Amino acid sequence: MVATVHTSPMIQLRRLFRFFGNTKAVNDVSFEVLPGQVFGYIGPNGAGKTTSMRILSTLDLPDYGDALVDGFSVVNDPDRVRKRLGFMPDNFGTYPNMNCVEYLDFFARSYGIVGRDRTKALRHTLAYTGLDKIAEKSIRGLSKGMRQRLCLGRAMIHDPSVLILDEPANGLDPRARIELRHMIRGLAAMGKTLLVSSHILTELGEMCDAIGIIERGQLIISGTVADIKAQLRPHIDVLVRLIAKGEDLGLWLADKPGISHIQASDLVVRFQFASDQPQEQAQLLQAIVQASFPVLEYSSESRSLEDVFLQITTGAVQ
Amino acid sequence: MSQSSLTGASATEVTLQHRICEDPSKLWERLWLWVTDRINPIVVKEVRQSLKSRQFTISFGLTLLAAISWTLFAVSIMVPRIYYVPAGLPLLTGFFCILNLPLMVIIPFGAFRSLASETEDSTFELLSISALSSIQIIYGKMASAGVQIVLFLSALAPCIVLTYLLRGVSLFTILFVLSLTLLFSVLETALALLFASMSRSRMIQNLTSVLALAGLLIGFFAWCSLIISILQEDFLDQAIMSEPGITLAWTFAIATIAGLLGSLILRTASAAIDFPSENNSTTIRLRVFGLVSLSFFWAMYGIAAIKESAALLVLGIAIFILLMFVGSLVSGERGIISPRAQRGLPKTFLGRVFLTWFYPGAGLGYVLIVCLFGAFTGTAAAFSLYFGSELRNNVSAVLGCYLLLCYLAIYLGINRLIMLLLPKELSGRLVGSFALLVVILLLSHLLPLLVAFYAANYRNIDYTAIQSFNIFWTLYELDRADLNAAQVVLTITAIAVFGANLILCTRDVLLVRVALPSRVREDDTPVAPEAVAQPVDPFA
Ligand SMILES: Nc1ncnc2c1ncn2[C@@H]1O[C@H](COP(=O)(O)OP(=O)(O)O)[C@@H](O)[C@H]1O
Ligand SMILES: [Mg+2]
Repeated sequence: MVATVHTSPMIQLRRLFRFFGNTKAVNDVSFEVLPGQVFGYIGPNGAGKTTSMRILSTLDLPDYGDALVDGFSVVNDPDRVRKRLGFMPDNFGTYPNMNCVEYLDFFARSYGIVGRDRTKALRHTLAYTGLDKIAEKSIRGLSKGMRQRLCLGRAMIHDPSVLILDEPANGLDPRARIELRHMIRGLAAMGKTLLVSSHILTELGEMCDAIGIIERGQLIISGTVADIKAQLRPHIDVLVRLIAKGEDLGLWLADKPGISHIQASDLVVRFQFASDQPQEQAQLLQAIVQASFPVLEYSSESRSLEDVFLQITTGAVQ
Repeated sequence: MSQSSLTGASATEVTLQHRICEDPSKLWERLWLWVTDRINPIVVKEVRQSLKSRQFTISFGLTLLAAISWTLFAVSIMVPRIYYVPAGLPLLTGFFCILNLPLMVIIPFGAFRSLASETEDSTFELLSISALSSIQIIYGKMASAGVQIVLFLSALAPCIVLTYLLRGVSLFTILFVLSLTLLFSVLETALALLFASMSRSRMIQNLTSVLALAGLLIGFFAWCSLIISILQEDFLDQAIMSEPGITLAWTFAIATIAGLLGSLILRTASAAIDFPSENNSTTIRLRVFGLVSLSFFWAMYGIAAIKESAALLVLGIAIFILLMFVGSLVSGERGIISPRAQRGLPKTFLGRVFLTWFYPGAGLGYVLIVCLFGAFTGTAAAFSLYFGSELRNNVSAVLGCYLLLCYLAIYLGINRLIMLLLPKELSGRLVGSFALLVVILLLSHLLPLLVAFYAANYRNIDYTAIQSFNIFWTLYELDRADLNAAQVVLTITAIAVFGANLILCTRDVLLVRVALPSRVREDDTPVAPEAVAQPVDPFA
């Protein structure tokens, strides 16, 4: 396989646009995935995940913008992209009168793998995906979990350095989901770069190095899991009105735990409090009053990203 | 792997698995692996599948059964005469009709279904992102059909040998009809693949599959009746006896033209399923160019032999129809050369003058097609000048070709100008552009007729200059009426439309080759370039 020593991103979306009539399926999306990373691509149904992944896999053309895989443009060098990329679509095509090995063997041949290289690739793929016990079974009779494994096996048969998996956990039972997670982590440990999509954040949370959340064709947020977790931590926005001594309250609050983003004027103080427990809020308010600040009004509003995310992942389909 | 966990696994299953994913140890196994590695993967797959498929077994069995029944039936009917009268002919006719059903219907339709079902089962996309190129996919489907053709043929070969032994048919006739049947079957299969590749949409594919089946059945009956009449007349034997040279030349002409036509059809099918930024125009246009030149060459040979310049006009009309069809598809191309295709543009000045027209883009293709027909008309004129009085109907054939040239420039040019106004990302542009040409032709023929009828109070009308754009009527009046006015009208319109198109494609002509991106060059150079030993010239 092609050895990539440089640390430039393996997957790069540069201001990608794809419209279907009035539907803005992908509307100015840019992000990068570094070598060896697992990137979780999260968004509700109809957000544009499949569309952007199809563009990355050279199955569709962007209206504007470009995407690079290992530095090669999907628009201008699709042949080189295809050599380096394995794509597992959400709907999975099979042939009649074929069993699992024959299916994998056919795609290995299609990728130009010949002779002992192919038998080796077949053995490795069958063993890695755990298909070796049902290798002779007809594909039409496979369970959903086994079909997903076969599809993953097909995507990795030519040992690509980038794998794009479109909703691989969709419709799997919890046990199969855990096994899938192990397989994905294992692939990352082999140095492969993965882009995995899902409409459920928790499905991907633990196995991703970075995530991006897409809604209505636009990337809302992206970054490493630690960054996003910090932003997703529950917090509330608090507004306090006083008769006087607002600036003093700001100073007083500055060294209290869990308080950030303080904006203080003489009569109004705004800050963020890193908890949404009413108990803790009550204690804070009590402490402020006890410190004899002349409080006129205390109001709080929960605007956590978690709320935003819950909102986008539970409805809001285009 | 644990034997116990295999539910009902038999020993054969385990060895089967060995065959595919264990390293071969025996010599013949290694040899077999080496051979199949060099065959198109699609052929390997389809042969594997059809060994398990019921449809193939049934159609093959039925064909064999039909052949055996026909032999027994025919022989039993002819039994007293068969000893002293040549009995090969009726038997052979029957065998050809039996062979025609798989060759003309089952196999081409199977190829159609095979490509169409790749889209329906969404395996096509998996295939298209593999390392197989689109032409390899098409060739693979074609070769799988070829394997089946060979199988059916070898099943019926003993029967055909039997008819030769029964006397009454010459070996030449048998071989000629057989090769013609094979050629036709291959062309039909290629056409079926082209039909299947034209559209990704379910509805259109269902429609085309009905159309394809109907077309194949018509082809089957037409071919059967043609074969029956060829065999009855036995003019083939007379031809090869009296004029062997000309007969062989005709055979050769048919073979070369059909071969190039098949290649053009397959390339078009491959272009239809290829990645949009890929340059398929060059290969297709080279084939159109070759096809026109080749048919022209053979027709000139024929005309020189039979001295009839009406043949020139007939040929001109045939090429005109082909170019109108190809041209309508070319007008549907996106009017741009993708950055990928720009990497291969010619570098030298002469290359740019002569080869740019073969690159993608509706404007360039239009210019190429008009120039191609222009060259044809010019050569035809030179040809008739050279043969002079030896040819009959000399002048009007050349004039007819000239008028056709004007029509080509006008109709394709207008078609392309209208296509320029439509949005570039319109889906189904090729089909749309063809439909547009049909509409333009209908309007330009019907409107002047209506106007003339109206002016003449719906009584009979005569040919006037207002009917200049009517292709059929103008050609019909070629020897009858004075066409000076029509000539002037058509020439001026053609020059105007051609000029407008030429101006609008200057941007494409001015494009120059773009350099390869640095990442691509980096990929093409080996990681550690080793010093290559250069041969030293000892006499330097
Ligand atoms: N071929 C297409 N034609 C028209 N609209 C499409 C097509 N493909 C996707 N869309 C639309 O684009 C939007 C994004 O779809 P998709 O990328 O499949 O979302 P996701 O995979 O995130 O569920 C949807 O509104 C969908 O209806
Ligand atoms: Mg999707």
